[in-house]
Amino acid sequence: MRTAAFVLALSSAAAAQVTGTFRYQDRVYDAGGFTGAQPFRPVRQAEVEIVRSSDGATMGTGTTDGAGAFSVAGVPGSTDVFARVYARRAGSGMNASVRNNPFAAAVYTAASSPFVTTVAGNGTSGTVDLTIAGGAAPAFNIFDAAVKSFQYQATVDVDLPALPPLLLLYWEAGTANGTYFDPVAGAVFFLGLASDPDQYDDDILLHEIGHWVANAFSKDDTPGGSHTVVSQLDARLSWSEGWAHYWSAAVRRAFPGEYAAPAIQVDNFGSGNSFFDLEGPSFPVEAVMATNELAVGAALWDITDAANEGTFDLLSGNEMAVWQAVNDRIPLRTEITLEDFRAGLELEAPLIMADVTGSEGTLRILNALGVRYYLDGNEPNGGPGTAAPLGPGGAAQRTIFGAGDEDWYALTLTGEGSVQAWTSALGDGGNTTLELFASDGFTLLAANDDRAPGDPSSFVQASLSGTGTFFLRVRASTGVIEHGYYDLSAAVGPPLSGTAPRAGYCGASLPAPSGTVPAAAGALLLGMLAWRRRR
Amino acid sequence: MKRLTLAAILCVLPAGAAARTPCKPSPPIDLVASLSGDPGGSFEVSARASTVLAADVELEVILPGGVTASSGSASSRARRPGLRLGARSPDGKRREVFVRATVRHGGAVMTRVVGLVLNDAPVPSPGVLTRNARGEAILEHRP
Repeated sequence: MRTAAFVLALSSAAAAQVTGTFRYQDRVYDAGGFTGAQPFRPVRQAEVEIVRSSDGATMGTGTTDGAGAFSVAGVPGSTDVFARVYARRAGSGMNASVRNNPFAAAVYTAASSPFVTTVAGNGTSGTVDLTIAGGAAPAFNIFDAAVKSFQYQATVDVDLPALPPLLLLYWEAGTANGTYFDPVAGAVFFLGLASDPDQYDDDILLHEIGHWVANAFSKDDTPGGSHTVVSQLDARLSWSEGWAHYWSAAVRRAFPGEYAAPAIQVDNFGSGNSFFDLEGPSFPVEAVMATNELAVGAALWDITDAANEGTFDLLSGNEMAVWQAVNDRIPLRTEITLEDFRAGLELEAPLIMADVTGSEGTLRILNALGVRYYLDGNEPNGGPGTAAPLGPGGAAQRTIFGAGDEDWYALTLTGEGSVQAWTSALGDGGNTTLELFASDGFTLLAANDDRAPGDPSSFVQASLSGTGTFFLRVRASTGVIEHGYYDLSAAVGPPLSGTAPRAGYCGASLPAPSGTVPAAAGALLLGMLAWRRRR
Repeated sequence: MKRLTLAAILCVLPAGAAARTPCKPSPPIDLVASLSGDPGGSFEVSARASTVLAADVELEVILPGGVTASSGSASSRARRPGLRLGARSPDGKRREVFVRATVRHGGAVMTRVVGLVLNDAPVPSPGVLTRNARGEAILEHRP
């Protein structure tokens, strides 16, 4: 048995080889768009077969290496053959296939010119260059993006199987079928329009592949739909898109020879291009809170990139912890948002969390982006006994954080009158419920979840009589968001007659029905409410 | 009159896909462009754009090779720019006019492009649809 193996090894070492190299033509771009450079890059990790020219029979198979080279043994001698490379690979931690569309489902291939093997079975296709004009290069650029994604994933995912789930990528010249990930098909689709050709937009290719990664290795509850990087979105959508931005940048960061500025995300068009920067990020006014995809992407980027942004970005590395939070922790949760990532990261890397979230007095990565995942300075105020005093200016940017967090506030009334109180300026997708309690801290006087349909802030009002301390309780409404933050305001006025809000309140501006705070309100000072600091 | 918006191209056209399909980010620009007249002779491009961002929009028409402008303006810059450009195509060949809206704001550039096709015709694929020895469909290209 041992002898047989030795003979086989000798035979293999001496076997004739058919060799060659496949390259594809790329289009280089930067923040200014395509530079005009069109270098040839190796077709890496692709399936190769040696095909007999006369009948198309397969004479041998192999794969290209990192340089695009292949070597296939066992091809018969004196045979007219050609080498065929597929935009496909299954094995070695990869599983990707680039096809034209779901109906024909044809895998992109390219063939060398025919050549005749020697009597011993040696031969070479030489270097085969797949050009843009020839039509194959775009598909192989898409394939290389998939290869890069799997190769990067292998550096952070110790459990990546030799044969991962299949990543299907569809593209064909002229297609207007959108650039998107379809979770039902488990497939990514790319535009091929002359006006919007995505086949060379590696940033976009890897963004959509990032959606596939989330679907295949984590959990994604995005409602989907149109979105922009400056919009406030459903927190599930902003997480999904922010993750995809991050994945695109993280993969490109792992290939510095090809991508000089991975934090820059470019989308090239037939004329001109878009770009924005995860570092910083671009749109500093709009890219805030957990409900903005650029803020989410920037947060993930800052957790893993160099500690390079002044006093708030003190972290670097952590790519494996980010992956484990996404891969191991998020699938156990529901309605996935940045909150779930934070909870998962806390389990994976508790020691870095202070530098991830920051606190009310300390600016760190998340709160530098307007994401407030920490206990506010009024904590503990989880009951009437520890209620925080609500001053004339109200309370700003109070957080609902931690399981079942309740924020209690106290106010003292010195005579007959009424109180209106409301939450506003909700952040991180927050959705409040506001309740007004009598002095016993138990008797509910008024409660409100949503001020109006589509407005998740809250508004309560009630007539109060006599001197005493009354309480306001703010909680998170049930729904997608567990945390969030809010401003709380209150105003006092004369006793209510009927239920309609009245003019003539003081203490704070009255709320507008939409939840925005008007510039001015009634100025009748009754002097019947005394704000009292409570210890 | 032919009307196109990029939003339709990016997120509405994948209608066969599931409702929860994430698509690539759209630029925060509304762009409507249309073509009227004879695409093989004299025609007119009309376009207007706007953005939610506090910035001007640069609106431009980029004519393909062989097509010449005959009247109007090929570019406009304003908060809500609009333009009409008369042009002439030398023949009935397939060509594509790009209408581009660009906003520079917040350290970023956002661009939206609508392609208006003159004399639409299928784009020939350089590959050959065939099957390999295992019977799998392949789209084979030869350099």
